[in-house]
Amino acid sequence: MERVVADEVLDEERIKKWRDGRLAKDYERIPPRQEQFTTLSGIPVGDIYTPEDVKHVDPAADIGLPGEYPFTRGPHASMYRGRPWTIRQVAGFGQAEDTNGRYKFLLAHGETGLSTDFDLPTLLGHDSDHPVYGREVGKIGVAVDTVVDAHVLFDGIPLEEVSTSLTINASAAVALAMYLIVGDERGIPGSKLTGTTQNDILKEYTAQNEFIFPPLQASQLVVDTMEYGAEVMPRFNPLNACGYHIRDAGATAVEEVGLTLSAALCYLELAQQRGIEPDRLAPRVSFFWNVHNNFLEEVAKLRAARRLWARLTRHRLGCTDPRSWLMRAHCQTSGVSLTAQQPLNNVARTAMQALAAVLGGTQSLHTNSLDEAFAIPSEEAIKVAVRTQQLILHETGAADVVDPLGGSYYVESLTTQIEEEASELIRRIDEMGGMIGAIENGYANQLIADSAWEQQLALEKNERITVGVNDFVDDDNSLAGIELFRLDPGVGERQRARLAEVKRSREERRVADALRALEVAAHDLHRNRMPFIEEAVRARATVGEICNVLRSVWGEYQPSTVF
Amino acid sequence: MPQNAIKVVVAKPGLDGHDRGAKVVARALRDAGMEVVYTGIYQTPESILRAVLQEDAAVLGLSSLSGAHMEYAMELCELLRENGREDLLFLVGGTIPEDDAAQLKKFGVSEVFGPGTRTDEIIDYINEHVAVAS
Amino acid sequence: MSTQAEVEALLAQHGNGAGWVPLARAITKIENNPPWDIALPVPTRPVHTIGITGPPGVGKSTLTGRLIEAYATAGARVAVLAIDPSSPITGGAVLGDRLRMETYLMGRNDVFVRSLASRGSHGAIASSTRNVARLLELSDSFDVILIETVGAGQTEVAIAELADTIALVTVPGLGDAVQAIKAGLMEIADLIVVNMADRPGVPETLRHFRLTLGREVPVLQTVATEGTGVEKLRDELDKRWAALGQNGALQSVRTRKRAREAALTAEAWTRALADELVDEHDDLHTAVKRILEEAARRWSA
Repeated sequence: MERVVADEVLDEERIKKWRDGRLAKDYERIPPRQEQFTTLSGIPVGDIYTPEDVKHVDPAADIGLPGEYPFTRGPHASMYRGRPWTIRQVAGFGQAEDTNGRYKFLLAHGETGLSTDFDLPTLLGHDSDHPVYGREVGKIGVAVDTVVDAHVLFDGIPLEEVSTSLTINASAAVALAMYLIVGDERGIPGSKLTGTTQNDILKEYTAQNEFIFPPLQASQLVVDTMEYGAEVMPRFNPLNACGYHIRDAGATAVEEVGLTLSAALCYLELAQQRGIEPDRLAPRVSFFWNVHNNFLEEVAKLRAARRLWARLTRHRLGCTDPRSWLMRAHCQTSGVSLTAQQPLNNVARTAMQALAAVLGGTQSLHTNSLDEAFAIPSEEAIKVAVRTQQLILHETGAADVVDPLGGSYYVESLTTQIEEEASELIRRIDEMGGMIGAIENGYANQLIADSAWEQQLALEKNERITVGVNDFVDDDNSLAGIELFRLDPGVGERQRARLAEVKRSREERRVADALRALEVAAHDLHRNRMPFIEEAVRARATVGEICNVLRSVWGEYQPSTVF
Repeated sequence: MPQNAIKVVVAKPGLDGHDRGAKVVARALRDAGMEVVYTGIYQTPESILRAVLQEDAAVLGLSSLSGAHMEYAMELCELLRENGREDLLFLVGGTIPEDDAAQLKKFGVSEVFGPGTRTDEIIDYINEHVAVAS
Repeated sequence: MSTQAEVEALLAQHGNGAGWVPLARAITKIENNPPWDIALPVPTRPVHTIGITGPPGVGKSTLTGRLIEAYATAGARVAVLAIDPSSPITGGAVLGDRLRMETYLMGRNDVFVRSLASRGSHGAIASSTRNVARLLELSDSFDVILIETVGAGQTEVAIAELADTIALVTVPGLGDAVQAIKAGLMEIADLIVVNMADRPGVPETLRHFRLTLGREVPVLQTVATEGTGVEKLRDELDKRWAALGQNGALQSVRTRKRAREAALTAEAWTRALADELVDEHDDLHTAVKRILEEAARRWSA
């Protein structure tokens, strides 16, 4: 067929002509739906994007190829044409055996990696027999007091084949030791274990509020786990730097990237100050992103984050190992975007968010269940969530091409813009002394609180529509016959009984010695505390006992008072 | 400047750290002319009671997103009764299923506000139901 | 029943063992009504009323929390009034001091903390706050009363200066925090507390205060987040109270402050009258005439 030659060149002038002419005429007939279109970060969205908009984007330096620096198009060359992302649904409630049952259910339905949610007492370093917090045992996650519970949790699960993500932060060091010891006591060497501890304590002070100790001491403990992991569990990722919670707390996509990368830098720079080369630890830093509603912004965000991290590790930290530059990410669809009104809509929301994660190049994915606005997901709902991912993989074709949206004028333009704005935020945080400084002076908290407020205003002024909430409202709150999950009220008592039994049968002397040794080690912030925590866990010390020792030396952090 | 204002205590009981909603509500109530004492997270029923009694609050807003709302709310209802403050407008917000909401109201909670509640709904409710002290 | 009578009745209820509720209600009555509607008797058993003030960001609430702890540990019954500004636009307020003190209050049922928004004119809030403190004195339930305010504006100065002892909190360095104090607070401070004293700049700061205030005004150092220096602060405050107890010194301080309070109340009364009567079309002559006439009429009524 003959090649058609255009009458005019597609340059800036031509586009302006089009805008002032044809587009303006369209708007005369049909006015734009909104006065201004913006992404959820407030970035203005133009009507059309053309080669003009990506003139400054270098196809070689900025976009490149998958599996190559700066990894904009993906951390691996073949991406999902080879290995699909891991379907990794977080699960956790009741006692270890209850969660173990949910694991087996999920694995049977096609999940390919495990993820554990722990209950609040465990997350915050308290035991199930705590006089005040005992009432929260097993409610939003699994209760784990000692390594005995950890054994039950992973009973019948081949840890040398299945990777596990442990969603725990303030007490992550204890969980890490438990995972190692469960493997060890089963004859599986640490070198065969794969998975993650979330362990990103800095985001707790700004977003999730699951902290115990003050930021500096807690961050040094994170460095301990990273150093320890590199040595005894070289395939395990001790740190999962998180944007998810920051985003759900109200931050914009740009803030999500800026704050998360600042935190990751903080840990690696603290390690550097201790004489640990970033190249030793960076290859095992993984990331956890939110996938929120604005589809294209989320795709661009994931690409921007990958590229920015590659540049930061290479040029700022001076990493020379390409594995240090490479960002591997887990994504979760946004919890806060789910509505209690017309909950079936959540299935559609989650599906679109999940698709964005796939088109953005995630390595593993959790899709929320439709009833998650109310409770721990029911089996029916979590099954739909798993199927959603399988549908994307097998029915949409989205996984058959690597980075299919690469080259889109809009997506590349937005990727660059997000990278630039996030970079600017990181620079501002640097001026405050890094992430710890930005926490101590309240800046990070205020940033997030203000964004949360702005979003609430936009919702209440109907500047942004949430279907079923401020438009298309009806009385339908039905869950289509899905029964909400109810926790067995006897869980707390049973767990306390088990804990009592463990305390009865352990060697008290060994526990006391281990805790005392840990206390001494805790005073030296540059000493790795993990071997001491490991010994305490082996001796069947409890999460509470171990954390109380650290509390006694480091003190407790007072929650932020910022609005 | 008005002489009177509605005094509200916004509290988060137990270990639940999800405070985005509580903070947004506190800010909205302030913008609606109310005086808000936000107790912060990690409160016990006793510390919440103490705040309510000492601040002579007209309204208590309890925020809970960690599934322990029944125990905490019911304990507070008891404590309020024991201390002569059943007149308090007791509101509960968060991830509260309908059945639990109905039970809470039977027990003494004035109203339950689930996810997606607009702040003006809460403000209107308070303005309608609070007898402003003189 | 008049406000006065209601307040007295509630105070009596509290005295009869009814707990915090009537006391808190009485405070609300004082808050919700103009200070000239209330005339509380002079307390026969005076209680040390300490004003803690200073610019924002110097750790006042943490320090107050620690001070509460120090007093309570020594067996004193403590009351705290924490005053935060009201929004001039919406009239509302977020009263955030309690939150910051709460960690030190955990489990303590014997400490009374009340947050107050600074509604109305500075004169009115200052007088009302003094009345609330007076009420707490009259209740016989406390051994020390702390009044915490933020900032160095007219309102904060007015509230602080009515206390028996005024402690001005600042941080080391000669930057904004110290400069901000010059606007009125320096003159009324009975002692200075340099908090965050583990930061650089302490010697220069001490010298600055010595040069500006002379040696009679004690300057203390604290690190509130760690509790360092707080017991010494408590002891210094107790020393000052003991000194006031000698030779009618407290009497004369209180008389002087009552005069100041009366002036503030009068100012607030007149201001309220002006707000009510004066019209945007009035010139000065008309405005003053109208106020004087109405004032005379109301006062004789």
